[in-house]
This record gives sequence, C-alpha cells and structure tokens, in this order.
Amino acid sequence: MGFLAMIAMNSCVSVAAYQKTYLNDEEMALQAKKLEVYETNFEAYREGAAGANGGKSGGGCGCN
Amino acid sequence: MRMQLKNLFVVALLCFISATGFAQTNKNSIDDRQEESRKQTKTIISEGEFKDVEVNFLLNYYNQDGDHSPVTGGRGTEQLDNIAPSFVVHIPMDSLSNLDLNFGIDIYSSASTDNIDYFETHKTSASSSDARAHINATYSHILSKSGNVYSALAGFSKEFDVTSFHAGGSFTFNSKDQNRSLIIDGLYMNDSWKLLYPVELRTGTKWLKDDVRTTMKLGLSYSQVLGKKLQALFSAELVSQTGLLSTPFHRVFFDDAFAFADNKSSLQSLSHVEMLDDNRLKIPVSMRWSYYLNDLMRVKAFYRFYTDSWGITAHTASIDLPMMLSSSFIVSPFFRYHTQTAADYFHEFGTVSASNTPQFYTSDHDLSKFDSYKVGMGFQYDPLMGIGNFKSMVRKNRTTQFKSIGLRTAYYKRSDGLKAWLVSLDFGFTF
Repeated sequence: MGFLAMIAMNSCVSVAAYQKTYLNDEEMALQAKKLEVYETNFEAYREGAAGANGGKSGGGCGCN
Repeated sequence: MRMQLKNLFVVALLCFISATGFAQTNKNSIDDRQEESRKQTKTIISEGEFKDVEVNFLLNYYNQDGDHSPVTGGRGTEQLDNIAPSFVVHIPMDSLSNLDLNFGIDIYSSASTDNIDYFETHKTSASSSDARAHINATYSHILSKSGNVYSALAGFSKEFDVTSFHAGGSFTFNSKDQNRSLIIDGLYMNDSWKLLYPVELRTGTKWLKDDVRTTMKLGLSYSQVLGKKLQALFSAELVSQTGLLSTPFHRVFFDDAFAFADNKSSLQSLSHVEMLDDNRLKIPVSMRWSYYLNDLMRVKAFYRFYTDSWGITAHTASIDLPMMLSSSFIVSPFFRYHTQTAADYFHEFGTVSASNTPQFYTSDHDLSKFDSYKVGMGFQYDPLMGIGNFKSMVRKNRTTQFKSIGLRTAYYKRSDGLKAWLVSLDFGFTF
C-alpha cells in the first residue's frame, strides 16, 4: 500500500534542486549508517527474517 | 672590393642561419614547456589528485547469552563474544567512477561451537574460538548523459568450516529532476561447508547429502521525494536458497530423549543431525521514511514485512531520532521491535515424534516464534574543519584529516531469553 501511495504522489511532488536543503541533510539519507551494519548482521543471524534493509538476506557465512 | 663583399655576404649568411636556429630553439622550448604543462595537468586530473579518498576504521564488540543453543538440541548456553575490526575505503577514481572496498575480520569465542564435541569432553565455559575474514569490492560508474548508475561487486569470506564467495551488480535509473530513483540489483552467493557433525554422530554416515549452499537474490528499490522535508524508499527482494540449508553440527532430540533431558550419558545415543529442507524462498518487503522535523531533530522510520516458504512470517519496525545538539555533534536514540512466527520445522527440545518422524526438523530457536526489541543510542562528532589535520604519508603535498568519530551502542532482548549488547566505533579519515 505504501508503495502504491508513493507512486500516486509522484505527479504531485516536484522539488527543485535548490529547494533540497533539508532533503540533502546527511541524517536524511535513506540508508543505514556504516556503524549499523554490525547490528543488521547479528539480527540476520539471530532471527528467521532478514533482508530488504541493505544487509544480508542469507548466506555468505555460517548462518541462516 | 669583391672579396670584401663576398666575405660580408658569407658573414651575413652565417649570422642569419645562427639567428634562425636560435629562434627555432626558443620557439621549441616554449612549445615544449607548454606541452609538458598540459601533460602534467592531464596526469593530475586523471589520477584524481584533487579528490579525497575516504577511509573509515570500524570496530565492534558483541556479547550474547541465552539458554537455547541449537548445538545441544535447543537447550544450553548460547554465550558468544565477537570482536570485529574492519575498514571501509571509498576511492574516487575520476569524476564519474568510484571503487569501494570493505574488508575485516570477525574474531569470536562461542560456548555453542565449543559443545560440538559435547559428549567427548565436558566443557562449561566458552573456550572454542574462530575467526572469519571477509573482503568485498564494489565498482560504480555514473553514465554522464543519463545520470544513471551501474555497479558491479564481488567478495570472499573464509571461516573454519565455511568458504564463501559472491558476485553481483545493480543498475540505478534516476529521474531528470533527481526526485525519483529505481534500483534493480542481483546477487549470487556460494557457500562451501566442511560437514562437521556432532562428535557422537561422526560414524562415517553421510547425514546430509549437500555441502554447498547457493543463494540468489533479486532486489528492487524505489525512492521518491514526497516533499521538501520528506522522502521515502520502498524495497523488495526475492531470495532463493538451495542446497545445504541445515547446520551440520546442530543437534535435535526426539521425544524418546525428553525423559533423559538432564542425563547426559543417556542423551549421547539419542541425538540426531538437524534436517531442513534443501530449498527456501524468502520475500522481504520494506519501507523507509526520512522526515526533517526541525533544525534540532530528524525522524527516520523503517517497517519490514517478511514471509518465506518455511512458514515464517515476521514484522519489524524501528525508529531513529537523530538530534543535532550542535553543528558538529549528533545524538541518535533508536528503538526496534521484531516479531515472528515459527518455521514449520521448528520443535522444542524433545518434542519431535520418534515413532512418526517428520521429514524436516530443527531445534534452532532463531527459527522459533518470538518477539524481540532493541534499544540504543548513537553519537557522532563531525566538525566542519575535522578533528585533526596532519601531513599525508600516502599522497604527496596532501593533508590527511581525522574527520569524524562515531559511537553506537545497543541492547537486544528476545522473548525466549536471549540477550545481547554491542558497542561500535567509527573513525573517519580523508587522504
């Protein structure tokens, strides 16, 4: 549903490059920080669910 | 008179030749110097002389304990300590291409793996240790006309019983206004296992038919600007795993062992190797939002829905609140909640039917039904002019900058009793 909402809003939003002061803030990045990789890894090892978060989806180690 | 004219003519001719030759030499020198300067300039730009190489040194300590080790059939200590130093290196090769390297080592000691030989010698503390070394490289290139990006990656890791390599790539489509992007990525992984069974089951029987695990992932991510202060990312993956999906040294005890739960000598003849299906399809789907609340605080939220062919369904949600206490100092409290159902093949200790044994069974509590939460705090100090500057020992006439320090600590607890805490450090440099 969230994905469909994003697509629907596509035609409503247009932010010019000079208006992206807030969006370009380093803390606004849509990805995990470098330090978060350790937590993402141990969560993939210790939980049955993994993936879609920039980390392991399975395999590549002696893990699930 | 005629001789004097003749001599005068010869002298004039010689002077003319000399003058011409000298002028030629001067003209060549100017050209040579200009050409040399152009070559130097071209060399400097092609080497990316004016672009910084970024290096982050990361260090992590992780500690966990619980009482449901799969090595001893779902009961017993899960104590584990792990120290993981690593380097992340970002190398701009030119204005359009980058090379990113990630390499490190995980050094761990585990009471669980110490109990692989549980019935051979009696061990009550974590004394078994091992190390996993890993390296990954990613090359990315921006297509100058379209602004789209392609990348290729490869990596390798090695630990005592698993050797892995992986390769993959991605393509990013960017809209002209940079408000939307679509990323398609693929990854292939191959893990070769050394089949190390529990000591009492090393009878020469080949309990597991495969010793290779293959993982293939296809991913799709779409990001969208939703306003001047809000943007979001949708991600979905299709992950297929085949081959050896059991862990060779995990034990399972059937219901004929339940009465002997505290009788170690009786249990020795009643253990079985974990048996899991040789294929698994995973589908995680997630949304991520970033919102600029005000100059003090940002709000970052994440939600993931997960389902797989083994019967696990999970929901994960987290929130992160970076707060700019100053232009250089950021504090980020965060909270994460996770809940999952059990895999179809999961059985508690001593509950698998011995008389009507199913095809697949495990007592690995990572695949059980549980809830978990994680709470923690992050700190980052990143002043504009860096923390320290000193003469580079790597690149001539450049300055190495100690750019930033980051720290992140978290506490994790699972409803089955597993607890963990970790602390991570990040030292950022530019060269």
